[in-house]
Amino acid sequence: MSHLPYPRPKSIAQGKKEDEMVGAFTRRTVLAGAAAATAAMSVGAVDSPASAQTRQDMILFVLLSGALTGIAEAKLAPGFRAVPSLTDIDLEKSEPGSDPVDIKQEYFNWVNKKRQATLRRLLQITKDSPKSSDRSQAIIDKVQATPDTKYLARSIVLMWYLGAWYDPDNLRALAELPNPPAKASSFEVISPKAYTQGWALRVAQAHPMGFSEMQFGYWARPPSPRTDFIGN
Amino acid sequence: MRNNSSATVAVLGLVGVLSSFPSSPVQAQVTPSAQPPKPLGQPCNLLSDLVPANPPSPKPPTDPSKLTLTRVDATTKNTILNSGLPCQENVSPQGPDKAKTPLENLQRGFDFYSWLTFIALNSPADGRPIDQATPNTKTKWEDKANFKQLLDVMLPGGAASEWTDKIPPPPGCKSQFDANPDLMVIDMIEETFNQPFKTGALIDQQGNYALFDILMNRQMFDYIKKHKLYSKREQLSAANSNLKIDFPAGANPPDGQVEGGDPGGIIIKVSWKILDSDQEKRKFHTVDALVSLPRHDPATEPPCLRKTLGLIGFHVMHKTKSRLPWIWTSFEHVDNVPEEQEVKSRKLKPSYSFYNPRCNTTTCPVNQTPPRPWDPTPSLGLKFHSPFKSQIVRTTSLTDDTKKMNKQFQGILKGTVWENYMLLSTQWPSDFNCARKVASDAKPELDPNTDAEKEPDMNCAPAPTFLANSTLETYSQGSVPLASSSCMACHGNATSYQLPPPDANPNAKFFNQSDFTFILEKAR
Amino acid sequence: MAAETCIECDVAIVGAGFAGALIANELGKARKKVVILEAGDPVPPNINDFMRRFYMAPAKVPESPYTPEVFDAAGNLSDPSKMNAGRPTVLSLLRKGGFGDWTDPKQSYLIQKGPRPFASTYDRLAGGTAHWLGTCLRFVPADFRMKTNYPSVPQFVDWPIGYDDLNDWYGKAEAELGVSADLEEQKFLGIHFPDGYKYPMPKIPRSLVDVAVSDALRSLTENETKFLEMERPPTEIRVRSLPAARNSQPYKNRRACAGNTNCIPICPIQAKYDPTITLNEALETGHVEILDRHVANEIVVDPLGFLAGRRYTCYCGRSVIGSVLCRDCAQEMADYFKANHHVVIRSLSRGL
Repeated sequence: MSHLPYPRPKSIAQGKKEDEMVGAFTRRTVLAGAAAATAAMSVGAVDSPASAQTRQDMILFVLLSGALTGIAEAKLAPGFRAVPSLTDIDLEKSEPGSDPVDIKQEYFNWVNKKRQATLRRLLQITKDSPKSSDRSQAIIDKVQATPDTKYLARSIVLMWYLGAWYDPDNLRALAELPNPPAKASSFEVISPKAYTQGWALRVAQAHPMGFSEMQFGYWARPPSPRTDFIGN
Repeated sequence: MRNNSSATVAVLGLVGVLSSFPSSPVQAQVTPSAQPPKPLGQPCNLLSDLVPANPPSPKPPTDPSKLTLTRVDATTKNTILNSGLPCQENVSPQGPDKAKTPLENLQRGFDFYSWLTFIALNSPADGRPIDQATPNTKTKWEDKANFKQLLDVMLPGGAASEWTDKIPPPPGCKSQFDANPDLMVIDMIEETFNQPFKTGALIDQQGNYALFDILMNRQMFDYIKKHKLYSKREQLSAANSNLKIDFPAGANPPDGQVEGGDPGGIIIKVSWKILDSDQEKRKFHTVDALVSLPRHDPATEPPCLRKTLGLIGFHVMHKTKSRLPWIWTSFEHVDNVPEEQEVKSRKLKPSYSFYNPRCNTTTCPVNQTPPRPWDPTPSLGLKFHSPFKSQIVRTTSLTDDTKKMNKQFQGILKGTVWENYMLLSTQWPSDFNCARKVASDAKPELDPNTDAEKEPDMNCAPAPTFLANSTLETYSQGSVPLASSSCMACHGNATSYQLPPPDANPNAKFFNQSDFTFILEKAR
Repeated sequence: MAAETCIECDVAIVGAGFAGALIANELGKARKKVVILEAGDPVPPNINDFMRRFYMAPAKVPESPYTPEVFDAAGNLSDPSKMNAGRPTVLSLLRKGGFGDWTDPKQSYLIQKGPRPFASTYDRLAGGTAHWLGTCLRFVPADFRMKTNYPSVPQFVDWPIGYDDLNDWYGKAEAELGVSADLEEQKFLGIHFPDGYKYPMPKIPRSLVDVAVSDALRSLTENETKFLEMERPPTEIRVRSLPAARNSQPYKNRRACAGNTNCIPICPIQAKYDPTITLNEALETGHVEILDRHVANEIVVDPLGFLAGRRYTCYCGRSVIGSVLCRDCAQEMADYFKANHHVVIRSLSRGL
C-alpha cells in the first residue's frame, strides 16, 4: 500500500516541484487560509447582511450567479421562479427561492461583507442586461470590462463551485503578475454548510468528500444523469 | 354506513344535526361516548391550516387575497379535537401574510398537521374526545389494536405472528402481568436506555433512567409480515433479494370525497420518565407499566419492576404519497429542559426533568453523557449507579411561528394533561418533485420509484435541516452536516440485511435501503 | 497533572488505540481492574466538533478533524514543543527549508535523522489510528517466515509464532471490528480459515472503477505482461476486494456505509470501525478506567522480572509500572521480551 493515503493535489499556482510530498501548500498559503478561517467563524457567515438587502437584490444575485456559473438558477436557489420567463424577467413578480439550506443567503451576506460596492455594481450590470436569450453572455462581457468586477465575478464562481473564498485581489495577482506571491493562492472555507454545497463535485455527478446524501451501494451503479444534479 | 355518516357530520362540528338523533342525548361534546371508537384515519382528517375553499376538499382558495388561517381557539376547539388522524398532509406554499416565504407557509402547514396527528394518536382509546382525558387515560397508540411495540413484532428466532396475537411478557413479569393484563410491558434491550448508535443514557434529576420505546401501526406490520421481514434469515434469503422495501404510503380520499383514504405507515418513538411522586403524575400523561430489566445471563430472569411512566418525548414518522421520504414530527413535555437562550437570560422555571437551574456549568457541565457504565445495575432497579444527573439544554430554539402555534393548541387542550406538551418542529422533504410518487397508478403494490434511486439527494432537501428532541437525540444536537441530528439524514442511511441475488448480473442494480426505518435491522 | 495519586490495578495499559482498547475490553470482561493511560484528549459525546473542524480545514489531511490543532492561530503549523502530547502530521513532512520542514522541530514532531522522512503519521485520539482506511488484510503464512524464505536479506526475521497460531485470533478481531469480505476471494497465497468460518458481513459492493479495472485485467497477453519479469508472464491478474472494517450491513448498532468517501480521516456515520467503539465497551464493563491526557513517561520493571500472579502497583506522579499481560504465558512472554525487545515493539506497532 502506498505510504501516502490520499492522492497528491494539484497546485493552483504553477511551477511547484514534484519532489514535494504534498502539493502546493506553503507557509503563506496556509497562513492566510487558516487565519481567515478563524476570522470567518467569528464573523458568522449566516448573520444578517451589512446593508439592507431587498428581495430584488436576491433575485439579481441568483441571476448573476446562474450566468457566471452556468448552473440553472432553480438549482442554485431551489424555488427560484422567473416570472414571466427567464429571458424576460419581472423583478417584482419573480420568486427568489425559498429552501431550507438557503446557501444563496449565506453567499450573498459573505460577498456583501467582503466587497459591498463592487457587488452592487455586479447586481446593477445584471439588472441592466438585455432581456434576451444571450443575457448570460452579455453579463459576462460587461463584467470583464473593469478589473474589480472581473475578479469579483471569478471569486463568486469559485465560491459557488468550491464553497471557499478566493479573494479577488489574489486572483488578480495570480492572473496578472509574472511572479505572484505564494499568498495569492490562498483561500478560506466559508463554512461547513458551504463546503457541503459546493457544485464542483455535483457537476462530476459525485459528492464532496465527507458528505454523501446517497444510499449504500450507489458507487456500484452508474450515476444519475448530470441534469439531475445541475439542472441543465 | 350509518356510523360513518354521523361521524362525518360530527367532524364538521354541526352540533345542531346531532339533536336529530333522538336516541342520543344532546351533549356538549360532538361524539357521544356510546359510539364505538373510530379506527385511526377512518375517515381521514382533511383539516388544513388554511381555511379551505370548498370543503370537504382541503384545498385553499386560489385567490391569495382570500386566504385565511384556520382558527385554533374556543370556537373551533371541538371540531379540531375530534377531527381525527390525517392520512396525508394538506399544506400550501401560500399564506395570508405576504412577508412569509413559501417555506415558512409550508412549515406552518406541516406543524398544524403534526398537532392534529398528536391529538389523534393521544386521544382516548375508548373513543372519548381528548378533552375528557385524565392523565392516565389509555391513548389510541397505547391500544394494541392500533399499535404494536417493536419487540412484539421482531420476535425471538424470527418467528411469525398475527396482528391480534397476544405476545406473552418476559417470564419474570408473568405473575404481575397475569394479575393485571392491562399493564404496558417494556422488555428492556440496549436501545431502551441507550440512545441510537450508543450515544448515551439519559438520567433525570431524580436519578432515574429515561426509557425509550418504538411502536408501529397495522399497515407497517402487514407489510413486514407479507415479506417476512420479521426474520433475519428471510431478509437474507434469495426470495427477498430483489425486493425494494416500500412501506404503504398514506393518501387522502379523492378530491371532494370523505371516504377512500388511508393513513399508510406510521411509526412512533416515545421516551418515558419514571414518576415517583403523585405531584409529578398530574403533569404528565402516565401509564402503568411493567419494566423488565435488560437480560444478561440466559439462566437468570432479570427483575421485573412495576413503575408509573410519564410521557416526555413523542416522535412520529408518517409516510404519505406526496412525501415518500416520510414526515417527521417531534413533541416534548414542556418541563424537560430549558432552551439555551433561556439559560443565558436566566429566564428559567423552578425545575426541569433534565436540568438543575441551581447548578453552574462548572459543577454541572451541559449536555455531557453520564459516567459509564450505562447498563442498569439490576440491584438498583432503574436508578443510576452514581449521583450523576443529566444536565441538558436545548441548543436550537423553537421558531416563533411554532411557539405561536403551540400556544394556540395548548389553549384548546387546557384542563387536560396534554397542554403540557409542545411541538418542536416537523421535518419534511422540501423538494416536492423529488418527494412524491411519480406513477399515477394508485395500486398499492406498484413497483416503486424508491428513494434509493433519487440522486443526488435521496432525502429531498429536509426542512428544517436539523432537528433533535432533547430526550431522544440528547447528545447529537447541533448544525454540523451529518454529525448533528437530522431525522432524515440519519434515517436515510437505514438498510436491511438483504443481499443481492446469488446469480445476479454484475451490472444489475441492488438496493437494501429499508425505506427510512431502522426497525428492520432489529429482526432476529 | 494531578498530584500524588497512586492507583492500584491488575493491568495498566498505555494507549487507548486498537491494541489497548481490545485488550482492555477482554480484561474488563474477565473482571480484571484495568487502567488505561491515554496521552490524547478525551473522546467527546459526539463528533460535531471533529466534523466541523474537518469541513472547515483547508487541507483535508488525516489529522484535520482531530486535536491537537494542526494549525495555530497565526496560520503556522502548531509547534509540537508547546504541546503536552504532539504527533506527526502529514503537513510536517515537507521540503527542508520550506513550510512543513520535516527537520524543523518547531513544525515537525518526530526527530528524524535519516536522509528522508518516515512518512507515516498517527493521531492522539483513542490511541492513534481513528483516521485509518479500514483495510483488514490478514498476513499470509509466508510473512511469518521471511528469514527462512529470503535468507539473502539480512534484516528479515522469522516470527516465533505463525499464521496458524493467529488464525482464531484473526477471526475474533474481525468479529470485533466488523469486517466485510468474501471468504472464497480471500483464500490466496495460503490464507486459510477454520472450518465453517464466516466473515461478519458480506463484502462491500465493487465500485464502477473496481469493475472496469477487473475486466481490463481479466485477459492479458504474455507480451503485455512480460515487463513484470515474473517466471511466467501472467495472462490474468485477478482483482480482489479488500476486507474492510466497514459495515456492509447494520452491525452492532452501527449503520452500513453510505459512501461518504471519508474513511480517512473520519467516517461521519461510524460505519467504519474505530477504537472508540471497543474503548466504550471496555468502559462499560465497569472494571476499566481511562485517564485521558496522561502521558506514560517511564515504565519501571520489577527487578525480579515478570512473574505470574503478581499484582503491580502503579507509581505516583510520572512513572507507571506495566503489568504482566496474562497469567499463563507470563514466563514465556518475559523470556521472549528480554531476548527480542526491539522486534516485538516494531511488530506490534505495524499491526498484526
